[in-house]
Amino acid sequence: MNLAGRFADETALAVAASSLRLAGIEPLEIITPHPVEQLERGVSPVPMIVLLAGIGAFVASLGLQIYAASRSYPLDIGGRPYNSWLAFIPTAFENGILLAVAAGFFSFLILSWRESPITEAPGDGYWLAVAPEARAALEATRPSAIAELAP
Amino acid sequence: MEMPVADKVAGLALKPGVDAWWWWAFIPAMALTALLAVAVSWLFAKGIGVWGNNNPVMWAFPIINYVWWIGIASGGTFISAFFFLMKATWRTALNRIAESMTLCAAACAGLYPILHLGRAWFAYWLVPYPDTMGLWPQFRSPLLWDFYAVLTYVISSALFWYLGLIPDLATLRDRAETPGKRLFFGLAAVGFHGRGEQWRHYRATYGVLAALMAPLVISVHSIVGLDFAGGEVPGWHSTQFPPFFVFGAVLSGFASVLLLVIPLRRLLGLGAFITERHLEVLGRLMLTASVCVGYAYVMDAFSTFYGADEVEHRQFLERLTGLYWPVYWATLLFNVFIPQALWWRRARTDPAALMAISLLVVIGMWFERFNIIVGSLHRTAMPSAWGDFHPTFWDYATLFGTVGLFFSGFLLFVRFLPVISIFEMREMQASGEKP
Repeated sequence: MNLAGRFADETALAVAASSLRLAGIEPLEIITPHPVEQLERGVSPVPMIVLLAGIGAFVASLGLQIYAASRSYPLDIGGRPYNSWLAFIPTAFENGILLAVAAGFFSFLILSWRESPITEAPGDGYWLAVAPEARAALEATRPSAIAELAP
Repeated sequence: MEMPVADKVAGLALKPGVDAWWWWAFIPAMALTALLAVAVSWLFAKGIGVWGNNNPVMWAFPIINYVWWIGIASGGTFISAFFFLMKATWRTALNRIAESMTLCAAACAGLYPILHLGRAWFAYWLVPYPDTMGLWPQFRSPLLWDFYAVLTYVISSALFWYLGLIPDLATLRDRAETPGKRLFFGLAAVGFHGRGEQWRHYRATYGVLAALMAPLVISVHSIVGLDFAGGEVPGWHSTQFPPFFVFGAVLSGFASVLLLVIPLRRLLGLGAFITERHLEVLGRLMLTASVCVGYAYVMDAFSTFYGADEVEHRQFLERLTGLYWPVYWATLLFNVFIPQALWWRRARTDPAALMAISLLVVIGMWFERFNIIVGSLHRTAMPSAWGDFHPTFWDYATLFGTVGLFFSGFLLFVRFLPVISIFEMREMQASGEKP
């Protein structure tokens, strides 16, 4: 994939991308200077990873505190219950948030760190990158410019 | 089609050399940071006795400064996370500066509880690691909650800030002209190229992280409030403390954003992106926070005298008329009365007036914490335990040293990184919105 066609804006890009997809052009890479919601296909797994990490860390933290306070080292303070779980919520909440944020950040890094045929960025603007065999199809979408990318 | 925001902001970060004003700001900031290093070394060599902390005023400057800095930090998180979820368009031009402020302020805040431990090398005892004595940290204590809250806040703020920077770092990598800068920004951009799939994960990640940061900042300041409310000291033992601390935090946070944004937009020539509208919005937010803080001050007085505890009454009257009376009245003046000028549009759009009000608010919020901490501790329930507090040179050296640390970090950010979020500005411009 070392051809990239440039388009004036996200709407022109979206029209060209859908026509190339209809024509079955593979591989097809969209490069934009900002996120474009209408070009997205599928749902990212990141929010689910974040949710699971957050809940997991919350439960683990709460469990550790309950174990520490009522099993491992119970202290009788004026007859108060050992398992005073309400007092453990703030720490569990903070631990849950920390793990959720870290899981979100690192899962984004891992998911977006994919081998890509594009090793050179074509520059600012809205681009569609295709394999060299698809030059005719790319030209048919009338990009404002076509750039050759390093392989 | 080149968009001017990228040229302007990337140009600022990539241009060779440094402006004269930057050195004029950075050298004094570094000098203060050096003072901090000396003060901390002296503290570690001699112990807490170098400060004015005494019995009964055990918390004093370290905790005042800690609460002050963590409050200042909140402004950035509010702008970057809360107003992102609200889809406020004015946020876009401000959020990078505000978030960088958060990061530098949270780092300053995080130092103090460690320094205040006395034996800072035992700070790891706060972590529930499997030790040979079978002991655990006291999970029921708000002071321990605070450790986890600040730890979470500092790490999450750093990750959220960095996540927001990644697309702009990629832009800088593509525009960098020297191999050194290309290498630096190339490594920092972690392989981001703006591919469709990357943006899909990016947008999802940024959205959920913003949704986590917003409740996090509220929880951090609530827990700071609980540090006090959990103690049986007159003037502290109040259920209104968590929201009271959140109000105060956002007041000083918005004031600090204004203090940084007003000179920066002039020095860096960002007037086209950070407009009068942004200053006005921040002015309104500061006014709102000031009214909330005023309400909390009134409720503080009301709930004291609505109750029948004579110790609480005496303590409150001591604040009004005792040794530290100027601090109490300055708190009211700076945080509640003077910001009322912001009801007038002229005050909200005049940079000089906004600067003056913001500076007074930031000082006033430090006074408020002085009031709460020293004011309460020096006249507790037992008259036999009364005592006064006098700060030493090392107290001031540590306070102004962290001011230097804050500005050193912030100025490095201003010089080397994009001060406005390029991709969010482009997204906004693509959808036809004005900055």
